[in-house]
Amino acid sequence: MINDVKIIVVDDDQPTRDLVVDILKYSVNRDVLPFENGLVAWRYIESGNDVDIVILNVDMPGMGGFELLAKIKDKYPRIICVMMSGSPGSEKSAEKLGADAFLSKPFNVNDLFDIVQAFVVGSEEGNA
Amino acid sequence: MQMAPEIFLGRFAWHSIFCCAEIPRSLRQGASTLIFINVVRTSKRKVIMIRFGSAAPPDMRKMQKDDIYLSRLKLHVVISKAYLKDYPLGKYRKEVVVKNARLMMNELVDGRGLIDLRADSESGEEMNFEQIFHQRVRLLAVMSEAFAEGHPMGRFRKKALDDNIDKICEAITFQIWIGEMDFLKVA
Repeated sequence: MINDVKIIVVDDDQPTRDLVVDILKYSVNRDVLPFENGLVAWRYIESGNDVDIVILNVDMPGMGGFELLAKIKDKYPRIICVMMSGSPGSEKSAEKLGADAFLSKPFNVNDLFDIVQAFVVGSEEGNA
Repeated sequence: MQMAPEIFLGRFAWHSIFCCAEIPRSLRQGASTLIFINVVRTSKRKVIMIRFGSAAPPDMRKMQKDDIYLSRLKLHVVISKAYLKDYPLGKYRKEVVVKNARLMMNELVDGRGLIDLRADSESGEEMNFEQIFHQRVRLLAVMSEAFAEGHPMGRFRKKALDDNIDKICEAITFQIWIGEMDFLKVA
């Protein structure tokens, strides 16, 4: 279990981003921060803010999901990255870049509950 | 830092156990969610990527308005079930309950985002069914906003809320095992 888990959601599509934020915020009863593109999310992480889990969309204007994933895994490998995409081809690329999980779109509420169960409740770091 | 073999083995075993445990649960829920485990060898350690989501590659697409509306409705069902089981409502959960209730109400007022629930029913029945369904969603939204704001919910209101949830779940063919969601038991 990660105590006081810090989650951020990066997606340029506002209705989807708000939905993911609300489901996660309800699940963990902690604030979950939304970002509309990879660049602002990266600046947030780089400015020293503690982040445990990043849920990020693949296709975004400016800095996309893959670029952000690569940067995070290069500099902060302990951060759990969950890639979201509605494009079948994205899955292999996400895997190669070191994503911890892949969420296929369209998803439903149970899928996000499963992510919380896997990475927040079942986190081995918290149990150690 | 290079990971010791026994630590690596421990991580791998943990993930395997987790994934094996997840599959029956998903099947019990009637969902077609499958978790595929992919092992990728990197220079330092193996990384296991877990796949979430029931959309198989040919069915993958962007989220649409109906997907989002249905997910918000299901979230509200979970919220209300958790409340009926006396699970704790913290500050952030309360915010989500109120926001989600208002968003669902707005969708009903706008008449958008409503899914075709019973395409095979006759037109008259369908109209009646949809009207009743909308009223049930409205009732759910009002009741949940009330409990989130701390208004009293007696035995009969709770029973009405429970019955309403059952009817909504039946209409959208949604099943949820709230008892398995350990994270909802703590605030």
